[in-house]
Amino acid sequence: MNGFNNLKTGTKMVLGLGLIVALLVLLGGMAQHAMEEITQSRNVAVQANALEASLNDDRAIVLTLLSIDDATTRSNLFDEAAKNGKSAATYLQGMHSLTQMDPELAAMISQFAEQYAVYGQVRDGQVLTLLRKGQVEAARAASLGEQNSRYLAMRDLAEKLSDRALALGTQQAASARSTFAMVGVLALLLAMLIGWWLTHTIAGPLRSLTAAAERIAIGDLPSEELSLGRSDEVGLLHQAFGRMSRSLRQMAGIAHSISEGDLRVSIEPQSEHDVLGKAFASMIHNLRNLTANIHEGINVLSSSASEISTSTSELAASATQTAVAVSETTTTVEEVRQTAQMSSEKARAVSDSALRVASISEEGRKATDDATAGMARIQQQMELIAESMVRLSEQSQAVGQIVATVDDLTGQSKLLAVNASIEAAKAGEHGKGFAVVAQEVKSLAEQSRQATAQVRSILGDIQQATSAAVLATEQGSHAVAEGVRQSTQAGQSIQALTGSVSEASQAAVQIAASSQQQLVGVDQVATAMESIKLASNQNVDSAKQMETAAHGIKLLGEKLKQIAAGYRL
Amino acid sequence: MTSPHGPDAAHAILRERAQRLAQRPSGKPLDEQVELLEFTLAHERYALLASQVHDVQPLRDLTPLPCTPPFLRGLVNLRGRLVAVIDLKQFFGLPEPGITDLHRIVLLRRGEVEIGLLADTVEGVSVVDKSRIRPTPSIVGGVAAEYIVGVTPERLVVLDTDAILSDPRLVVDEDVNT
Repeated sequence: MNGFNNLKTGTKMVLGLGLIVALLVLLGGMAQHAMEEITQSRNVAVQANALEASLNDDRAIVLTLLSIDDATTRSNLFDEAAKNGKSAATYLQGMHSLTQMDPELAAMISQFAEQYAVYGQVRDGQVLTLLRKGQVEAARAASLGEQNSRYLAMRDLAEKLSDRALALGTQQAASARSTFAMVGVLALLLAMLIGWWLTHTIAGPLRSLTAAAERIAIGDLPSEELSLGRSDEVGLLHQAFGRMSRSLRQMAGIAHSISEGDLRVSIEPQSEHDVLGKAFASMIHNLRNLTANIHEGINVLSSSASEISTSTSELAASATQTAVAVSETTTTVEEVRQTAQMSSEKARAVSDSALRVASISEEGRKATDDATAGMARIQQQMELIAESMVRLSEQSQAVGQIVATVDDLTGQSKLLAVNASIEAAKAGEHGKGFAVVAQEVKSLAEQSRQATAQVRSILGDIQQATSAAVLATEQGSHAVAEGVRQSTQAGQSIQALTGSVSEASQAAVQIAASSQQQLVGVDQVATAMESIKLASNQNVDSAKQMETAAHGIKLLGEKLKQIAAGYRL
Repeated sequence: MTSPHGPDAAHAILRERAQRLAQRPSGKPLDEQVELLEFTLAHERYALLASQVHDVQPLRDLTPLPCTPPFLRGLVNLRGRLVAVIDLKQFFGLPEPGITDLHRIVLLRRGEVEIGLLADTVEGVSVVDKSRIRPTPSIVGGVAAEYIVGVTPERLVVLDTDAILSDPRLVVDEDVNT
């Protein structure tokens, strides 16, 4: 039985179905045989009837021939009689070939054949020959009598033969029906048995396997061994299911360990088509990389969160400082507003004073005109002074010439005194008195020389002074000319100044207007600064909230770090 | 116009001057005194015996003579007589500042010889004790030594009129080679 179980399922099916088919073939053979027997019986009966009909025809032809003279008809009837004789012989021959089944029937056929042979000889040898010869009476005699009794006997025998053959056929049919019923019931039982057994050996294990597959489908991996100890397809299917289950359990174990964070497991794909194994290996590889990246990311996140926390703390501090600064700025803007108000008033005052300055500059212009005229008069006076100085210089030169003459005279006097002294010396003792006179003369000459030297010195001073005065007069003249030019220029400048001052006056009016606008603008700025102050205070609140949030992010980063530490690489 | 010194100062000056003039001459005999005509050559003081000098004239219309030695500066016309003008600075090696109208001619005459010595200025005639005239220092040589009689302590160099007048070198006898 075990060996049978180890056969291939196909083989089992072929064996079972083959057995059934063999029974059906047997049944068919038996039916064929029975049908053949019945057919033979029927054929015997038919041929017996045909023989009887042929005999009747023969009889009819002979009787017709005996009664008609027409040559043509007679010829046709002779041909028909010959043909009839041949067909009867054929029927007889066929009946002989069918007589192996029943000895009684065979005896009856051989008896008929013997009688028909005699009948045939008589018919062909005597009746028909006589008829051809036209010996109708002889022929009639030959056909009646003994030939007629033979005919009657043979007709009876043919009827018996037919009945016997029909009875035999009916008997055979009944026998065949019972045999069929028996064999059919047997074949049905056998088929049911084989069906049940195939169902038992194939469908049962498949059902349990289906249940296991259903459990696997809903994720329940059976831990019991699924092997049947069989080596047919079902057994192999069980083994394959068992391997699949083991593999899945292994994968499940690996997935479990992965779920517990242990990524150190390694999976070798069981074949190169192991999609799940490869996917698991790839998944673990990717998870390792991913977890490593997540580690790094969490570290970065943690440090970033710390930095953000620090930054937000600083931001909060900065926002506070900004709020303080904005508050100060608001105060400053208020001061600026007051200053702008003041400058507006000042601008108005400047505008007024610019108008006054315009009238003053007009007066200044007139004054410079007067100054220019005065400068022209001074220039004329300076020219007069210059002429006087030139005259004075000439006269002092004349005085110098006079002094030179006096000096020359002094020199001559002195020389005269020296010569007088020489003469006195030559006179010796008598010239003593004269020597004294000469000495006195020389002394006078010396004094004259000193006086003229003083006069020359004074005159030199006078000349120097005169030169300086001439120079100064010249310079003064130049200065006066420059003064005239400058006063003219000053007049023009003041003219221009008047224009500028009037422009300045207009500008001052515009400045006053602008200053007013500025005041309005500064008022708006002050309002805006108030808004900014409010916004800044809100900023401070936001910064504090952000600080809290950043602290939360920092804590989250640390928590993530702890979670990531649960993954062992 | 008042004097810067006032009337008392003027009186003092006048009194001092009167006392000076009233002083008698020194009691030494007149034989021991000589009268010297003092003149300057290039700011150096020289003197001649006044008794040997003819007179002093201003330098006017000096006519240079061509083909004469450098010490002969030229001729002047003095009252109708032609007088040669000798420049002693050429002998004494003194610098030559150039001739102006302020120069004087000291006229010397002995017999027919009459020459004029060129002097920068003529100071006048003064009386000096003979004993004050010292001999010529030995370091002076050449023409200068021959002309000099002696030197006073006031560095007044007394020249010898005779030596100058009798010097044959002053005779000019030169031809112009035509």
